[in-house]
Amino acid sequence: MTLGVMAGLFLASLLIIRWRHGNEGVKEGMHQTTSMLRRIAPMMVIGMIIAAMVSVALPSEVINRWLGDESGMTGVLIGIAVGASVPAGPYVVIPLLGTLMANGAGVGPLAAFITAWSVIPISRSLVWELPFLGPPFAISRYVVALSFPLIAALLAPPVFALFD
Amino acid sequence: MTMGARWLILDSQPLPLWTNRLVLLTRIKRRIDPSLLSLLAILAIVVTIVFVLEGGDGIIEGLRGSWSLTKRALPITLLGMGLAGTLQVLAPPGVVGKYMGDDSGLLGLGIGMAAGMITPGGPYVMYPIGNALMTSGAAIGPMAGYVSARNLVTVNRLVVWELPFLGWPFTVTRILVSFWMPIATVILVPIVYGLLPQGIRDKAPRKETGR
Repeated sequence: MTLGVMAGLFLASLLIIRWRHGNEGVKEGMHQTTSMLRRIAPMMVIGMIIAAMVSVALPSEVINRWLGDESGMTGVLIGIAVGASVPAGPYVVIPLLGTLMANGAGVGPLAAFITAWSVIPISRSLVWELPFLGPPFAISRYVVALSFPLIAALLAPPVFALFD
Repeated sequence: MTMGARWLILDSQPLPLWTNRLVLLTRIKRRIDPSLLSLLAILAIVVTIVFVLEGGDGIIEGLRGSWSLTKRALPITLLGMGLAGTLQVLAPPGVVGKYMGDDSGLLGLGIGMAAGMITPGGPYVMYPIGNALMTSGAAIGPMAGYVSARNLVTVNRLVVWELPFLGWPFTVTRILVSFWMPIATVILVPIVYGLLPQGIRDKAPRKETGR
C-alpha cells in the first residue's frame, strides 16, 4: 500500500519534471537522488544496526513497562526527555523509534519522543540555532514550542486509533 | 570560498566571530563527516553494552534484527530518496525562500513553511539558509514557520525515514497532531519575541541596510 503510493508519487513527479524541464531535469533529479544515497547509505546501515542492537539490550518487558501504552505520563515524560537530549539525526532516531514501536512502546510516548526531538533538540539548538539565528529568536521559539511534545502525546493515541 | 555555506556566513556580519570559527570547523569536519563519526561512536558503545549484557548471541540477534529492519524499509526508502531528488528540481528551496520578506504577509508565512518543508539535508544546510534569510530581512513570523516546518514536517524526512520505518498509520497520525504547530509558532513566536527585554533582542542577527 505505502509502496504503491510512493511509487505513484515518484513516477508522477518524474513525469512532471520530464514535461517541464525535459531530460536534463530528469537527469538532475537522479543526480540529486544518487548523491543523497551516497551520503545517507552508510549512516543508514549503521543507524539500523544501532536500532536493532538497542532493542536487544532493552528487552520488550522494559520497553513495555517504561514506554508502553500503560506507562501513562511517565512514558510521555521519558519520551520527551530522551527525545530532547538525544544528539542524533534521523539515521538513528527513526529506526530506533521503529524498533521501540515493534517492541511495545505506546503511540503517546513515541509521539512525545519524535516531537521533542523535532522542536526542542537541546544539542542542535546550542550548536546551530543559537549562533545562526540568534538568542532572541531561539529563546522565543523554545518558549512557544516547549508544550508541543506534551500536546502531541495527548492527541496522538485517539488519532492513531482512527487508522489502526 | 565558493562553498554555499561559506558565503552565507561572510554575508552576515552580526554573528560573533567565534561562530565563523565554528563554521570553518564544521566545514573541515564535514570532509570526514561528523555524523558518520558520531554514529560509529554510538555503534561502538551500543555493541559493547549488548556484548556485556547478552554476549555473542546478543550481537548475532542484533545483526539479524538489523537485517530484517533493512529488508522492510529499503524499498520505500529508495523510492523516498527518488522522490526527494525530483522534488529538489521541481521546487528548489533557495528560490522559494526569496519571497518571505518583511511585508510578505500571509503569503510570506505560507512560503516560509513551504520552504521549511522542502529544505533537504541536516542542520548544516537549514541553519545557514535561515541565517541568510534573516539577515536579508525575513521577518520573525516566517522564520518561525520555516524552522518549525523544517523540523516537524519536512517532506524528505517523511518519505525517506518515517514512512518506511514507522508505517503510514503512525506517520499520518504524527502529521495530523503536528501540522498546526508551525502555524502556532508563526503567530506566537513574534509575540514572545516582542516581550523579550531589549538587551536580548539586540543580539539578533540584524538586517543589513543598503541591500
